[in-house]
Amino acid sequence: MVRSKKNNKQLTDVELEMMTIVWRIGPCNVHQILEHLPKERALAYTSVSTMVRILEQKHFVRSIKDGRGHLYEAIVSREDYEAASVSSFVKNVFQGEPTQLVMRLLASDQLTKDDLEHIKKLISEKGEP
Amino acid sequence: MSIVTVVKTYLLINVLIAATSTLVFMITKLGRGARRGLSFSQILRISYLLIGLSLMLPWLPYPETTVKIWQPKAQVWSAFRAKHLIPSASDKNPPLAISVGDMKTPVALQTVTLTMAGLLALGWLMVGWRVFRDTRSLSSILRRSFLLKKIGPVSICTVEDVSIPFSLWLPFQAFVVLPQVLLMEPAKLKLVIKHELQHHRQQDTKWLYAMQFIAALCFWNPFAYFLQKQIGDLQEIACDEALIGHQRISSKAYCDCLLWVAQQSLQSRSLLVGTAGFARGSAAKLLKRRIEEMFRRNGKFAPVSSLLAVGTGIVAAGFLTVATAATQSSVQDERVDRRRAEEMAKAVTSEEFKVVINDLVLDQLNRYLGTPDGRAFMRKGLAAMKTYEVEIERTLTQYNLPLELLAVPLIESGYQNLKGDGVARHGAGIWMFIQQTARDYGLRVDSNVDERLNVGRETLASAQMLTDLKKEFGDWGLALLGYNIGNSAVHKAIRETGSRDVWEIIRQKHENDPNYVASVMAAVLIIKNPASLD
Repeated sequence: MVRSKKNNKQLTDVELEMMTIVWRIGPCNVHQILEHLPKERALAYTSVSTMVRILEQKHFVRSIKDGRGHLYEAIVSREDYEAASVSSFVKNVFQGEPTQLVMRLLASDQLTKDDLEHIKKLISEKGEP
Repeated sequence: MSIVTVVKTYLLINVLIAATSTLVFMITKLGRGARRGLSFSQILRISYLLIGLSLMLPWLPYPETTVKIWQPKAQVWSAFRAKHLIPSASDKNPPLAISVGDMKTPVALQTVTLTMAGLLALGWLMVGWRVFRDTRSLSSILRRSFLLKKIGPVSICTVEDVSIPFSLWLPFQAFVVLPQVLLMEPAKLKLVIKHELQHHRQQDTKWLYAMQFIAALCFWNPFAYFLQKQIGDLQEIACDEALIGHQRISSKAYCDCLLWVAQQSLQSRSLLVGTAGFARGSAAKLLKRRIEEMFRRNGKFAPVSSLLAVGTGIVAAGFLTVATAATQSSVQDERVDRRRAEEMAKAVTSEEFKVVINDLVLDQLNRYLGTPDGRAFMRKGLAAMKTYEVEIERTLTQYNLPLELLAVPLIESGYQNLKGDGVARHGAGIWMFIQQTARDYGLRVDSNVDERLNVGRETLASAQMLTDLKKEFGDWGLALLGYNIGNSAVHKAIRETGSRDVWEIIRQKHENDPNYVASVMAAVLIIKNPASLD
């Protein structure tokens, strides 16, 4: 896959969460990030390592060789980021998703809040043995 | 491959899609009881079989074995009786096509055809544009995605701006694409990956292309959309069934996961579009159905054996094949116009037997030459004729009768020496004499011997009868009519219509076998132009 070359100074919620840990503990590897996640957040190694790669792609961190592994170090400081970030934060902006050529987990085009409420109730009813 | 064949194949595909959609509906409704039945995964596989057949069957060459079923049962009447007989079987399969006979208004027909072709092309262009747009958006998503891990041949990736996880198959790579937020929920992540991988395993991602193709090809056909929706629903429910049933995943955890994904997507959507959407849309209905099915599994639904599922599949496939044969045999795929018929008439050299070409004769000519059934019948009949041709020609010459009369047994029996079935007014032999008439003309018909089956003797009797009829009416058209309905009926018809024109009499419904005389005329043309059957 060709990686995008854009130097996007916006981070998604998820990316921000990872970045916050790097800012807090300084240069670290993936295992250390995992250790510093809150106990409820038992993320998979691959998930964290992918997020860190994304941060690297976005030029927020860079990797330093450390023996056989890598350490990740912040390039952009927290202060710089908070100053530069636009007031309306980026939250999984929904672009035109292809509906035709792919199999989606569920069709969401016409789902409304009411529908979800009904479904939540249905699940809790059925869930009782 | 002519344009007519292409159009015919296209229409046939559409018919089969409608049939498949109906069959899938019936199997889904009837195949599952409250406690036992076909599993959704079995129904899905049967549906795939039917869809595959719908796309393949129209291309198979038409088998000419169905001719035995269709036999014109013209009767030969006693000179002294003219009762109504059983309806002829020859009109069981009238052609479905619209244009038959003269092209009185060629311009209008062309305009209609061009308009329809234009609309079709426009429809396909719009579909093509949508596909192009989706492909572009898809490749942009893939380019911006990050690989999480690879499981077998499938690449699991994440992207920041997609709200619903999806799967995609390409010839050299299969993908599962996940929204970034899912990474933060490891339990749900696992479930979603399992679900998407199950789609790959079920080959759903490959069949998606077939469904897209059908929906695009038959964009005006509502059944194409029904089928697409039916298959889409089945794919999801079968997937859920596999996960809950075989992989022992808790229904509650799975449903919570689906709900979570739906909520996430709703949040991201509400930024751009107002939530004044439709209540109870199809998406909600499907989600509700999926949840209900998942919890039903806990009540121990017993699936039937694979053998029964395979059997159902074969039966459904059988229906589809029969539908194909029936449609193919009835659809007219060639047209004979007046000019071509007149060309064919040039081969008839007899002075005495005048071949008439009018709309009635053209209808029959089109039926015999323009449909697969008709052509097959004629080919078989002509082949059978060879056995008796020499003998019959000898007898006809002996009686000074025109050799064009070889067409009569062709229409009467297809030159099959048919046995009598014991009913007095049913014919037998190649000339189809009924018992009384046979006896009148010196043939022995009793419980031991039926001389109607002796071709030589029956032919002699026919020759005599035809000679008598010609002498009585002076015109071959009326004589042939007399052969079919009896001479007294012809006299009655002449009195009632006040005309001696056989076609006028026929138009006033004085025939017993409809289209008998016209059929004989058409048969004469075909006998003299055997190349027309190729």
